Amino acid sequence: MSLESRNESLRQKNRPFSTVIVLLMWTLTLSLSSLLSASFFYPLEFQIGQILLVDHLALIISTAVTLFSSIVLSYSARYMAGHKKLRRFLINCVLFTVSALLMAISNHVLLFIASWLSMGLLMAELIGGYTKYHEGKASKKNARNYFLVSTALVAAGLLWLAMLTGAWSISEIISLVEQDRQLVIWQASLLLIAGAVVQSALFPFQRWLMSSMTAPTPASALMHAGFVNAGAVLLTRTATVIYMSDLLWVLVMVGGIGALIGKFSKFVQANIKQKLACSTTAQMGFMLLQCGLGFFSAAVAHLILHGFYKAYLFLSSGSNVVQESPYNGDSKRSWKQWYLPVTLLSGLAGGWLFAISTGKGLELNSGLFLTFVIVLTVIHGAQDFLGRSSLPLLSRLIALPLIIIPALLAYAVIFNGISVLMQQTPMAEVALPIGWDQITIGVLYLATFLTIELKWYKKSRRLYVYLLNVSQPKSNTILQ
Amino acid sequence: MKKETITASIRALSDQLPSNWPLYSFVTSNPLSGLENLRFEEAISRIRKDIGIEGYPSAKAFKQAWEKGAIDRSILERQLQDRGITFSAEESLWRIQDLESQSSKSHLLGDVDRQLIKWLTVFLDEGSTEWSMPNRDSGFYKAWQSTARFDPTLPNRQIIRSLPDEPLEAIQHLTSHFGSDDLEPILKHHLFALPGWVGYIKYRIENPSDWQKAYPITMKDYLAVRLALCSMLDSDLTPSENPVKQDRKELDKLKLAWLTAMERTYQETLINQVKKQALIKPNGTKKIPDAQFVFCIDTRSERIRRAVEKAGNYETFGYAGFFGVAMEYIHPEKEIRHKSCPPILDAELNATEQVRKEDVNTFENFDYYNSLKKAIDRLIFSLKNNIPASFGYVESTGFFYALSMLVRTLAPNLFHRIKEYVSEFIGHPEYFSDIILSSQSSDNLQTINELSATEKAEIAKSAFELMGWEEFSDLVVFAGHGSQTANNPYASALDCGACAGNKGRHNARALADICNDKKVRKLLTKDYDITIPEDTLFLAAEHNTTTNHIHLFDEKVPERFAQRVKQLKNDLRTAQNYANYEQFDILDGNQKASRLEAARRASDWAETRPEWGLAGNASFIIAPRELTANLNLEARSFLHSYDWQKDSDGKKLEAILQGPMVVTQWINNHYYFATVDNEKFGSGTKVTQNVTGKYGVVQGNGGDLKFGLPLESLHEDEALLEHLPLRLTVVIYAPEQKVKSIFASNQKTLGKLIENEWIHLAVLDPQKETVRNSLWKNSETSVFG
Ligand SMILES: [Zn+2]
Repeated sequence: MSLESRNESLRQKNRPFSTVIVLLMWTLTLSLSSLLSASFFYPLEFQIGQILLVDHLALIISTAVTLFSSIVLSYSARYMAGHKKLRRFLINCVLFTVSALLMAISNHVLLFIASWLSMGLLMAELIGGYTKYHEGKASKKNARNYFLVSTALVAAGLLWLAMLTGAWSISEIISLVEQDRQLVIWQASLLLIAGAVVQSALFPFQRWLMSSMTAPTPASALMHAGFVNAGAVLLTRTATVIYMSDLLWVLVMVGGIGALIGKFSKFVQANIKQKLACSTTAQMGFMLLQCGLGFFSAAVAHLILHGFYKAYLFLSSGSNVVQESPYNGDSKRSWKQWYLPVTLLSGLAGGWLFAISTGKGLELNSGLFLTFVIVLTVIHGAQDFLGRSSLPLLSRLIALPLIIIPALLAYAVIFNGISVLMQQTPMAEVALPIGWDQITIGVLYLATFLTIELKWYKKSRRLYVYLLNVSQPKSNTILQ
Repeated sequence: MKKETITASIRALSDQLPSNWPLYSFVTSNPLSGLENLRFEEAISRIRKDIGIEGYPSAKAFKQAWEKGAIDRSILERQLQDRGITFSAEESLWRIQDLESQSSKSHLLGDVDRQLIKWLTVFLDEGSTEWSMPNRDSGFYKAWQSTARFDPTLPNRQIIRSLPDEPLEAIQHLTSHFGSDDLEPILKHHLFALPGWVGYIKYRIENPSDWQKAYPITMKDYLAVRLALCSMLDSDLTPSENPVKQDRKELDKLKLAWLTAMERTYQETLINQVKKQALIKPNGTKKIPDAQFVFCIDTRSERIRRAVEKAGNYETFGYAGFFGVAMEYIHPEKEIRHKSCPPILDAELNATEQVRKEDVNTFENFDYYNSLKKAIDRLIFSLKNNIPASFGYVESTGFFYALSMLVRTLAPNLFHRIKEYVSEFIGHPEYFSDIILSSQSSDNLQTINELSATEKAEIAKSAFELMGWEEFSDLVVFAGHGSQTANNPYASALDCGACAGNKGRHNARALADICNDKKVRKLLTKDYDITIPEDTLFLAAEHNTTTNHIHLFDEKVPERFAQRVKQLKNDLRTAQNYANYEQFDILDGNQKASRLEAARRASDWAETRPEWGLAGNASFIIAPRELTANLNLEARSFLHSYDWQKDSDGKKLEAILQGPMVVTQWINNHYYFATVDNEKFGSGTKVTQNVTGKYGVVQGNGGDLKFGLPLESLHEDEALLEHLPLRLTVVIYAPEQKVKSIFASNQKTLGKLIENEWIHLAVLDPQKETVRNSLWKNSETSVFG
């Protein structure tokens, strides 16, 4: 008979292959993380010609990327064990990881652009290459177009700078670039920022991310934990130029508003993966906002922590089938007058803990914004938790600090670790004086905070429809 | 057209539609159950016109079965001949493959569908959105009307404003230019356009959950919105003709021959095996077993029953896993209730937990930690849905997510241990409370009118009579079953089908309590001549089908049984290993490997095939255990205990056929259609699934709500089948005349299933020693031995 004959299970057949790939990636992860730990004590930085630059930033990013990749590969080897294209998928993930590593350590402008491009192409393949032909083809093409645009923007920005300075390595460009060529710096920075915004799927470039659920679940984890973060890495590498351009306010505004739109559109999502995608654009907005505040190191910490968070949620997205009651919500809440001062005090205490443990927000500069976010987080958490009358009051009062303090300290430790490591990275952490842009976003966030606490937004059907539409996938990427 | 006519035709049409159950209470139903009045092959052709389906196994599937020896050459050639096909076996498979390769491709979603799905998704959501669709409580049509008018992606929005307020009037208005003859095909076309979503609407209408009560949706709502969207988007209302290809008929004929041959091959082997057992005359006196077990009729029970019987002097029975207690279980820790009886029955009883006085402390512990857990869950939800708190939340918890992710990926066993520890620490209702059954008619939770002893005795009586129970050992265990898997949207599909896709433990507890009730025992002796020795203890248990661990709920066991129970637990551990060696293909009998693999499967978030569920199911055997006890039926048979000698009027057999048999037929047909049409009647691969609204899945970026089991539940890998799609063979060990008369008097419900070949029937007549098989029609009778 002409039919192909096969009675051995693919799951058995693929096992040795995937085991080898997984082991290799974990070995790489372990080596890089030991190198990273060592670099706390023996600072590490070396260049290979003008081509590669291995510094602490590169090391942090590489370790994070390989760690994400190892987890995703381990997971995929089981999750997709019976998939026809498992081997191709694993190799695709490995190649993507290699491109990301290359981007992290590349110093030469052309190498950087090439690795950026290949990351995009490989991610497009992950998005569309492993599902049914028609929808896969459409979503792959759609994503690829966005990635080509982001590559073009980044390439234009970097090449513009290279022409200006006559240097071909990013480190040289940074040292040679001079304040008096304001226009070129301004244009180049704008291009780089735009490239980062597209890559991070920030509004209005969110459509590719909203249409990327054709990707296998672990590929989405890799995308949301790794790929979308490349913008922050680019901006951190070129921080000096961005500072000179005086365009940080653009990041503050674009990031701040993108975060708002992303978060609000998440409110109306019923599909778990769409929900996570909206949340990612919001978190990416916040990450760029942190860049805009001059805290590139905070953005790097955010991208790693968000990577863990989002990868986890994608990998566990199958556990979202739960029977709920429509009357679950806020039925058992009670509120007493004296909770308010406790809530506010907890907020201030949380802010204070964050400020003294990270050193942010002790002075009157953009660091205050980071502390401000923590204060609002704790206030919101405290008011929510205190109102849960199903729990004895004493338990609530005891549990509250037990939840908040370790969480804040864990963040502080990671943040400080990254700050320390990135001390040698030029302009990675320079607090800015408080400007109109920060005040605008600050006021906007405070207003949003109140709007959400008081549920005012639920009054506008127009807003509802807008949010629903802004987060729809592209029409040709859905099958019947 | 008149409103009444429209209403009537919508009702008639929706009867043909398959219901789509929520995944938290998954019911493996026959997607074609509305068409069971037609012959199997006619039903397939009919539904193919409305939803483009294949309906039969693929050439690849036949080829695999052929190579595995699951299709006998001579049987196949005979089937081909009988149908006037002159091809040889190989040639006919070639031909199937040729004809198949011309079949159609998948289509992109149209604009109307896309818009409609956008709204259905948010309307039907069951608690996953922070901001649900405005005006949801006024019903789908009205909510849509008031919200969609602000949707700039919809052209001709003035149409919305011109629509009447009531959906039925809107349908009338939108179809006013059609005659009454044209209308029905139009309604049908639009109802069948999105069978998954419409099936879920049908489920909500038939099973009015709290969600349906709070946010009602009807077929009229759906149709009104759909027709309005068509009119706004300028899409033609009339269905386009779906030409049936000429050679489809030939393909169907060939495939039916192959399918029947595959079924016949299975039947011959099975019936020969069982027949031989029936001829063995019982020798000597029967030893009273150390304990008796009652398991669900589920195919997975077949394996564990063999294992338990091998591990010690134990006797096992098969009975529907809801143990005859048609109840709805009310969760003590959540504000939800779930149906815990077969979907074909109405739950007549409420099961409420009542804390035992002596266990109040355990309960308080349970209650406290549940409240804490709930408060933390709500806190997380609330933090995630706040600006800017969600940014602070991600930063301060990222580290913990990282830790958890590492453990879950690299050490699922460790994760399993932690999870078990936490779960035991918090406790379970069965540790500290008893189930109180009350009639559902008094649906007032404040005053529970407990069931009377007479009513309880009836439940117990049916159980023992249906199973043909003879003598009681002093320990009887009712073992329900449930699965334990992680990160699995289809977890409930692995739970007990007789409990509507839930775990069977509470039903087992209810029946054990009933049987331990002194008053009930008295009534049983007095009214039904069933005498349970005073010393006999009934225990509830649950068989974990993923790990094969059997958990005894022995909190209330009297001291004198302590030693016995200890021994029993030991033997059950041995039985667990026996079952696991088989289930996990552990050939060397390594106990440690069996334990580790079980823990991994139960907790590995990356495992898409934690267990095979009912895959492979092919037969339902209604007979005493002696007929099957010495056979390895490879967990492919549902087993119901039944003794024809204790059933003079045939009423017990009738009850088994009306209840359990229909459930097994649903399960079997579901597995069949999900396997042969995984895209339409199954949910495709888990790898690209996207959970929606906490109750269902869609594929990738969206589209129709998915039905049925995923590819991973049915396939070993993307190409190799684990479940061979065979129609169920019901084997009954009872006098032929009796069986015949039962089917005759239930022609409309049971007879049609056999006649239309949704399932097959084989009767082993103990008196005449003959086998009569519906497949042989009435012509042949083969004599035993
Ligand atoms: Zn069951």
